[in-house]
Amino acid sequence: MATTLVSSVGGMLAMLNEPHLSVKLHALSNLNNLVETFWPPLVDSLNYAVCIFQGNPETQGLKATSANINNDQFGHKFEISCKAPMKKGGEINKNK
Amino acid sequence: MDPKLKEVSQLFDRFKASFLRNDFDNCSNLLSQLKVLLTGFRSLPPLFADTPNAVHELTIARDIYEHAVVLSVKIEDQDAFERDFFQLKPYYTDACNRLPPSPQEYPILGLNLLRLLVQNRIAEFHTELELLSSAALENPCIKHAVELEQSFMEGAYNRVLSARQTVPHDTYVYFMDLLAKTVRDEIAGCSEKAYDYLSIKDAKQMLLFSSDQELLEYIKEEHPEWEIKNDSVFFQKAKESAPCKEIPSLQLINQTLSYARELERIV
Repeated sequence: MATTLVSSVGGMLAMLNEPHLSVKLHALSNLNNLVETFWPPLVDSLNYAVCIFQGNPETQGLKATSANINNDQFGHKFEISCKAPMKKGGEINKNK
Repeated sequence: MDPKLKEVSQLFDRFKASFLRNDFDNCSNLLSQLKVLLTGFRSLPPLFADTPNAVHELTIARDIYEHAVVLSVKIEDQDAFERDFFQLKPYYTDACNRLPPSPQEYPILGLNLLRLLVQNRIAEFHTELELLSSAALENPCIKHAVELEQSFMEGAYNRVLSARQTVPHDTYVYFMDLLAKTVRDEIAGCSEKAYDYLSIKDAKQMLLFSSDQELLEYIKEEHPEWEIKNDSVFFQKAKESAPCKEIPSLQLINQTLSYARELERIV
């Protein structure tokens, strides 16, 4: 997305705790698009998010709202987001 | 009208009918269906796509979540309150340019502040308060929660309890009742530290009970470590189980004096 229209991912994170699976997956789909902007608050939710994927065989049968969900893609993007600041941190430490 | 939007509208009408009948089980079922249907709208946060019915979709979605928040108060589910409030909040903060203000906004924001107060999450209470505009702080629903928090911090528990009579909105009664329990627990904790024992009569008055039986039940449930004998409540056993460390004042004085001496040498 060119610009971020929301000021917080609190709403999406709250959706992860909804009882209905398709609402959870809808939240994950949106979080996937927002991960590069809001990765700090997502750190604590990553393990739980992955569990939703791995624990639900119904994922295959869901329709449009979950069509874009991809566990590897989510994990990959998240990994990139984590690595960047860590590398920068390393450089800062070296300078000191 | 868009068929999806029409379906949501009809389902929401059924929800509101059940809500008025206080049929909360049916409300919860319908709400779950509504939330699933709302995931199909691209105009809602965080996408905010410019669809032909964007304003209508945003308005009805906000209305649904506002009812969800109030429903969670009715069914006394604080976890649901928190989930629904967080999902509702973007409609107040990020969608305010696209929608006219909601008449339910300030009562619901006040309810959230009250919930944080009841759960003794004071830091988050102040965080939420900082996010509000100065105009919002003048609203009676917000002001009520702020005054409650001030009374709570001062220890003016009588003002906290009497505020139940002047709630600005009828949905507040549930949280005010919970707040009374929070206040009682605070008073009980203070009494435990301050006194070795209290007579039954005094303890009943302090903890705001109207009968001896209520006091005894409270002690049995909440403070089994308290001892009741000779028409008094003894806190001694609780104190013994939680020994407080004595401050080594002599050692601290010696250290402070030696620091002062060293500093004088430096000069």
